[in-house]
Amino acid sequence: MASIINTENTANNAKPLLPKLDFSDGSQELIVEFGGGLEALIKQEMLKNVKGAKQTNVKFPKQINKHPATIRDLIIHLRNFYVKEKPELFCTGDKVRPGILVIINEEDWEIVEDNSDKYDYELKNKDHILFISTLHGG
Amino acid sequence: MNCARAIELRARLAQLRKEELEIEAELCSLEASQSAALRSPLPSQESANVLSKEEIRRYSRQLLIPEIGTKGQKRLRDSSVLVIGTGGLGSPCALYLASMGVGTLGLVDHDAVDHSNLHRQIIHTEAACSGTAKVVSAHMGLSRLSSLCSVRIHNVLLDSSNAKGIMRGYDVVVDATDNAATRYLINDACVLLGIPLVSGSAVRLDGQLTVYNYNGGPCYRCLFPTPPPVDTMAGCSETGVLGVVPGIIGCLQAMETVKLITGRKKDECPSLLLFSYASQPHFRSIKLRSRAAGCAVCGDSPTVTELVDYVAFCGSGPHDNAPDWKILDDPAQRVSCNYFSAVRSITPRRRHLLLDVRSEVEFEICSLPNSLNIPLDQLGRRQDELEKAIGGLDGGPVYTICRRGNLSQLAVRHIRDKLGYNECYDIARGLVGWQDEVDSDFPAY
Repeated sequence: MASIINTENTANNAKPLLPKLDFSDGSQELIVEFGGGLEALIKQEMLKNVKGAKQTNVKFPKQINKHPATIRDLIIHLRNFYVKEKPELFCTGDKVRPGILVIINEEDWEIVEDNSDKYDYELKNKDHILFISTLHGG
Repeated sequence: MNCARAIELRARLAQLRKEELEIEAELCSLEASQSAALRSPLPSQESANVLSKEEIRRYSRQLLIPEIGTKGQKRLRDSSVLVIGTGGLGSPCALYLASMGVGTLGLVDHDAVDHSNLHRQIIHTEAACSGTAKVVSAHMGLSRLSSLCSVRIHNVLLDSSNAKGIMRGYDVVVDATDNAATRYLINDACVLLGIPLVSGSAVRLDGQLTVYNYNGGPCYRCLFPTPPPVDTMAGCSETGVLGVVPGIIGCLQAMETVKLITGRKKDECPSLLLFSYASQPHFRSIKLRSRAAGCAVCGDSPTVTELVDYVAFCGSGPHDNAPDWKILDDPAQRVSCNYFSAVRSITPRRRHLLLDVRSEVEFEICSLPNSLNIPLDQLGRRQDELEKAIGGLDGGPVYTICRRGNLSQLAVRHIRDKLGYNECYDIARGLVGWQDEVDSDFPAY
């Protein structure tokens, strides 16, 4: 029960925690946006308001461990360094939690990735990735 | 102006409005007591009847649009739509469906009208706030608007035992509900009955809209095979909602319903429409996947072939928006509102601290005099401030309060465990209890 509200605030870092990423194989710029309430999970200093959209520019390696960087790598990176607390509200293990849709360049990631595993989607420079939570209220 | 006459007229109007509701309620219960056999059946197909003179006059502005025309208008008249939920989404949706000429409307809701509904649930009125069932109030709103629309009401909580019986036979179902369990229930029933589903949702400043189970497109389970964690299912009563946001989504649900009935919808790809108050542009359309072959209910080899227990499936149900948590095991760490009221009247102010741990916006709505507001999630960051306040107490007690007595228990645990201060008690039932037990003039929200 105590996990529902974490009374410890861990988002006190004045400066963003920059992860150790290896850019020796080149880098790419991604725009990552959060919606449907997910923006509240992200460290506020990491987010900027672009025409009402809560988003962040992520400089990300082109390759991770000699393989093209995938959306799986990005999700783990976001979980580790962008989510301020309660990572279980963003991820279940290294997958996005149930109730979150991943939208790549305005399309459901199920359409974008024709591979069997959508987590294998290879990121491209300037990709716009939207994580949005489904709403239930009315 | 003749003041006495104006006062008299207002009083008469108030009386008439009350009577109108009473008549409506009696009429509704008469209709409900009719046996199913006596009720007119749902229209099963397009009738051959041409539009009457009255229909032509009433719908003329719609008949002039080639996309609707006489053919579309007849289809609307001969169609039946079930709107589940007559709240922020269902109110405008049902009003527009009736006004545009849908011939048969079904309404499902189990709730009664409350003052906190009126800013968004525009089919209901102040007069209905003294206990009128939402479906009765909505029935009145619709019958005032159109005598051409046949309305049938279901004053029940939709569940696995009654859903298919209520939904069977309708051409379109509109999901205008407010919780995940009911959304899965409606989705599965629509798949099992083969009915397209127009699903809308709205919270705070955001809205979403999708048509499910139509023309090779996905169902709700294709997109969301697993229910989300219980503590991510925020509802309007907890997080708030701007009145017009469900209004916008509800209107769009009515529009999508028209597209389904007139046949326009079959030319469109499945999509999710996102709306936000703050974003520019306000709307974004996301292209969605097709039906998932592996979907548990609409897939090639479904595992869900009958309705299941959706409250168990989701871990929470339609009534669980405001749970009563029991976090503090020791009853000695909790006091009642009445007890705290007595403490206030006998203890000098400096000898106790009332700590209100709600968010700042909630604290601004209403608070008890001389309380210190530190939201629960700031207790760690503002520890110095808290310790200073406790230091001035000479060992006197700290009482924590919130809206319902849930978060305040976590605050007690924090102060006892993290600060080591054991003279700390939670006020059970919080400000809701304060209004109920101590001061009926204290505002509720």
